Amino acid sequence: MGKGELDAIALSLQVAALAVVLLAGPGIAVAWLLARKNFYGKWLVDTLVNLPLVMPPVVTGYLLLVLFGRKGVLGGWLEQWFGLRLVFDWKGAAVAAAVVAFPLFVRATRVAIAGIDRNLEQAAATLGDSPWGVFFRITLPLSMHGIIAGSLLAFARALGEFGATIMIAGNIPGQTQTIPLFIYDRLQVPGGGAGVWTMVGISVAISALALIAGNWLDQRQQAGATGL
Amino acid sequence: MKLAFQCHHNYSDGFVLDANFQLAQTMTVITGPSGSGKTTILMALAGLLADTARQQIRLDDLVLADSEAGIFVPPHRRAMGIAFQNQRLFPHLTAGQNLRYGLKRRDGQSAISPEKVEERLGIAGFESRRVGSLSGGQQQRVALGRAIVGARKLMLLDEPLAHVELELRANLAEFLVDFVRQSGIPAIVVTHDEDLAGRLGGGRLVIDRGYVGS
Repeated sequence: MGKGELDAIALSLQVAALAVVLLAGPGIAVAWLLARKNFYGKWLVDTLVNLPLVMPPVVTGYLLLVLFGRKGVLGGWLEQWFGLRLVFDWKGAAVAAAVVAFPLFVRATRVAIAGIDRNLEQAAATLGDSPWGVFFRITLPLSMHGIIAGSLLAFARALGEFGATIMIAGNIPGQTQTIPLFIYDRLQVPGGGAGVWTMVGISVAISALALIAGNWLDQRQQAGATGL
Repeated sequence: MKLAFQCHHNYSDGFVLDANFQLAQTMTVITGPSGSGKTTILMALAGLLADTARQQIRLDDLVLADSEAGIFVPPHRRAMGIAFQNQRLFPHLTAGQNLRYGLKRRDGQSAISPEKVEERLGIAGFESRRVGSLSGGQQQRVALGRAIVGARKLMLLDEPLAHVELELRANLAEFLVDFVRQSGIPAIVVTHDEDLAGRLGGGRLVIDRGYVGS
């Protein structure tokens, strides 16, 4: 493998890892809300959360570009206050990947939270836990299998992100060129097909691994080993 | 202890609980046929009854609930120790962690040390085991221990020995009586078990088809 390949692999892992870190907090909050609360406009939240799953990633990327571009509402603000620029930057690729992978994380986590016996949460409350205490000591540990499975799925999805990434972060070798962009780039060159098989293999392997690990956690859960 | 309890609750299936009583003894046994509303009374005391119930509960000087005045003390501020009918042990924790769950969230000081409770309940050997690997009797003893260690103002025990091994029951009943007498923390025990009721002594409250009069 050459430097180009190694750079792309390292960058992909970095982008996917940051994406999972970014989406975990909001993802858990939204999953809890959807699993536990009935509120006006819930269908709208549910739809918005799942939209990236069915929307063309290029469209998601374009919307993010409008939002986070230098003249965008959030983009200008981020640059002014934090000196943070997302466009044509690997951090922008991570934001794109986080948005696209968000529904996968929320789905897995939501199912896990919905499956918790609420009697246990009540029992913890009677033993002196405030609502936040119940959340951190009971709800969170008991849904950890779903959170981890969701993180793995989101990580795998983030690794494969292409459309939204290229819109917001571009395709700069060594800076924003992740594995899928690398493969796409090579295939644009006549005769470049031979050089991409290593990357294709690695891509398939990482994705399969994440799915297998996620499934394994799910079955472990169903076998009755709650928590981790 | 002085407990004044008044609760009117309509269940969705048409059953009505209408209870109005006062307790002054430190040990009270509630008996009555299945489905008569015994557990509902404990849930109301614990603060776990749906807020559609009309209730007025006063424990000593403290109003725990008064639906007319809009007062409701949430479960985590009631400082009670509850042994639920279906255990409700935390599956991600060990037996010892379950037993001590209420310890830190209160003042850190229980009326009796957790080690002593483990010894008296015969669970000293398996604190480090996950509760899922315990037998039904062992699980119930852990749940009882958790209620005892977590109790400050009142203990609510719902069929606390129903799954406990027969040969241990007399011993555990004796421990409960000792604990209530030494700690001064009153206990309300729901049970079908006449033998246990006899061993616990104290006052008796009989409920019939949702109705308890004073």
